[in-house]
Amino acid sequence: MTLHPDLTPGRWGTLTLAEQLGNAGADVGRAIRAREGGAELRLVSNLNRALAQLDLTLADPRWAGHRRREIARAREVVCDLLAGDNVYGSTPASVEQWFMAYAFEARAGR
Amino acid sequence: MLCLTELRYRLVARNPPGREHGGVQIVAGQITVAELSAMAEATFGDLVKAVADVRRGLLAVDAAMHSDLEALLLDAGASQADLWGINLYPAEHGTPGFLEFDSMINLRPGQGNRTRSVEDPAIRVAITELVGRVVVP
Repeated sequence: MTLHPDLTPGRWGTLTLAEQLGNAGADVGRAIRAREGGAELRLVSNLNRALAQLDLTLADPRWAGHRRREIARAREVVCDLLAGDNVYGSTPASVEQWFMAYAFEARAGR
Repeated sequence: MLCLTELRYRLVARNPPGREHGGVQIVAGQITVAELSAMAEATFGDLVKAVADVRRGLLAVDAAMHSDLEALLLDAGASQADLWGINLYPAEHGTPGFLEFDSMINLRPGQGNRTRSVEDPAIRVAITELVGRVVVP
């Protein structure tokens, strides 16, 4: 299983965009660290979780339009970095930073 | 405030079939690695999300998001400053890979914690000791 059964599209749709991308980014970060540590199985499971959450985000009707295009590009960059040839020349830090901005917004005031 | 037994009963009672022994809960006493493994297999595959209440020595486990466990502990009387999100990888019990300090709920700039990790070494030690007491082989 990749995602917790409670993470349904309905539940995901109650989250803000910052919460969705912050959570997906947490798994992206774990996948990056797993790769750095040579933990191949953990890399795959974290990447799968990240992509499943990004797919739920892409399917969220609230983000139709320019937001959805940026989310799709972010997904592409994650795949390129962690499962592709890194043709975009991303760095782990740059990708983490993009998601962390949303995580901070989601936790603002805590 | 709900007592822990009542809170756990209410939460477990609403779990779907097949998940009667898992689901969002504050661990009452101890939990075995085998129980964590069952939770992981029924949810994320390899990990169980958990939140530690370092002041009261409580561990909440098995939710879709750390924020669910944070809310559960806050409802049970915890202070947010005492709550830290972690991930447990039961297949790696007994190795450093078992416990991962990584959660969005740990982002608390107001408390000096600016990453998803737990930056204070003393708090990491407290969490590690708590997990060692609560999770048993």
